[in-house]
Parts: sequence; C-alpha cells; structure tokens
Amino acid sequence: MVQLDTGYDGELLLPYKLYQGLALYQWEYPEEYWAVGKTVSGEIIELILAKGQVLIPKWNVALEVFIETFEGNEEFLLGRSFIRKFKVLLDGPGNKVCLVGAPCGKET
Amino acid sequence: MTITTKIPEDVEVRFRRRVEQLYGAGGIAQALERAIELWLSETKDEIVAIERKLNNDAFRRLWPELEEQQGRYVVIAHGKLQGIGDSIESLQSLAAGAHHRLVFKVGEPFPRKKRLGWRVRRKQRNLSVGIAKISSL
Repeated sequence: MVQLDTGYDGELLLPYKLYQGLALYQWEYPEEYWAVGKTVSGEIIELILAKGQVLIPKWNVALEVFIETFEGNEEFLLGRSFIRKFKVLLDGPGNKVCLVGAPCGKET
Repeated sequence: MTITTKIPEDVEVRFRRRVEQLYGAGGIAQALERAIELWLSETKDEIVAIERKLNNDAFRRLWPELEEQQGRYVVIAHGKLQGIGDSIESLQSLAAGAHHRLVFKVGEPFPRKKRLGWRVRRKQRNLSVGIAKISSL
C-alpha cells in the first residue's frame, strides 16, 4: 500500500529495491536533473530520478510521473505534486486516504 | 561451455562436500550453474553503476548538441546517443538490451530541491553527492 506524505513535495518516491525490481534505471534522467532532498532531520540526500507511468484502472488513466529514490530507501510515498492532480478524501474513521476525483480532464 | 580453472584446495573440499549433500554424485554442474546465476544477480548493481557513469559522461559530452532539441525526447545508452524523438513511446525499444539507459525530455523543468517529508530518513550513506550541474538545463 502506497502512503500519502504531504511533507514530500515530489510525485512518487519508491523503495530502492522496487526501483531496481522494476528496472527503472532503464528510464533514468541524467544526473544533472536529479534533485537534492532534505529530510526533517536535515540530512541531504541526492535523489535518483526516472520517469514512469501510474495506472489507475478505475478511471482508465495512465499518469506520467517523475519517480525518485535513493540507495537504501524503504519508503513508498505519494507526494504533493502527485495529489495536486486529484481531489483527496482524508477518511479518518476508515484510516485511509482516497482519491475521489479523476485527474483533471477525466470524468469520475 | 568448457572452462578449466584452479580453485583453492580447501574451497574445493567444502564445495564437493556440499554438492554431495545437496545434489548427490554428479551435481557439480548443477551447483556451478546456480552459483553463476547468483553471481550474475549479485553483480547487477555494479554493471548498472558502470553503465550509468558511461551514459552520464556521454550526456555531458553530447549536451551542446542536445541543447538544441528543446522539448524532444532523447535516449542515451552504451555511452552513445541512440535516438531523438517527439514522444517517449517512439523511443522505448531503443537499446532495450542495455543495463542502463538515459531517457529524458530536453529542457524539462524540474525542481532541484525537495522536502522529503516526515517519514524518509537515510538508512546508509549515499556517496554520490556533489555532481556538477549544467546550469542551462
């Protein structure tokens, strides 16, 4: 299950092993495009960057997204740049976050 | 494939004993095949790192001519320019056998600084910080 972290301002952060498993290094951006990320504790981490697609079968959409990772990362997060395309429901009682609207230009 | 090589005696003794335990007599080929598969899998990161460096060096070398292709997609693999196209789909089959490829849109704006949120922390040291940036990207 992928988690939403509004403190992460990228689109999609993948666990490093998943990045490798999906062979996303075959879709990588040059190092000059890689961003530098800062953790809440102030650590600076260079982020490997690739481009991929997120498929949402319910809406029959394939979103092109920037994917980031770094060696040793185990977090799987959607960030603010991704949810900017959606209406999002914070379902407290259900303990989940739901995308309730199709991305701009698509019907729900 | 036939290979003749010499391995240390103590390794050979342990190897033969383990093969006998796992596969019985005649299991050496099976054990070697498994060992080679394991080695190929374990060295995947190393070969990706070598090709990543080769391709990024090529990118820096090619940048003056690529800079003129604003908005188009580029594929670099095996340390060479493989193709330029108007869509990522038109390039996806290029150098499909490479261990590492650069596939990117020239001049695409991308933020250079990110906040990583509440959950992310470093598990181990990243040694690749400090790469020169091309300011005109």
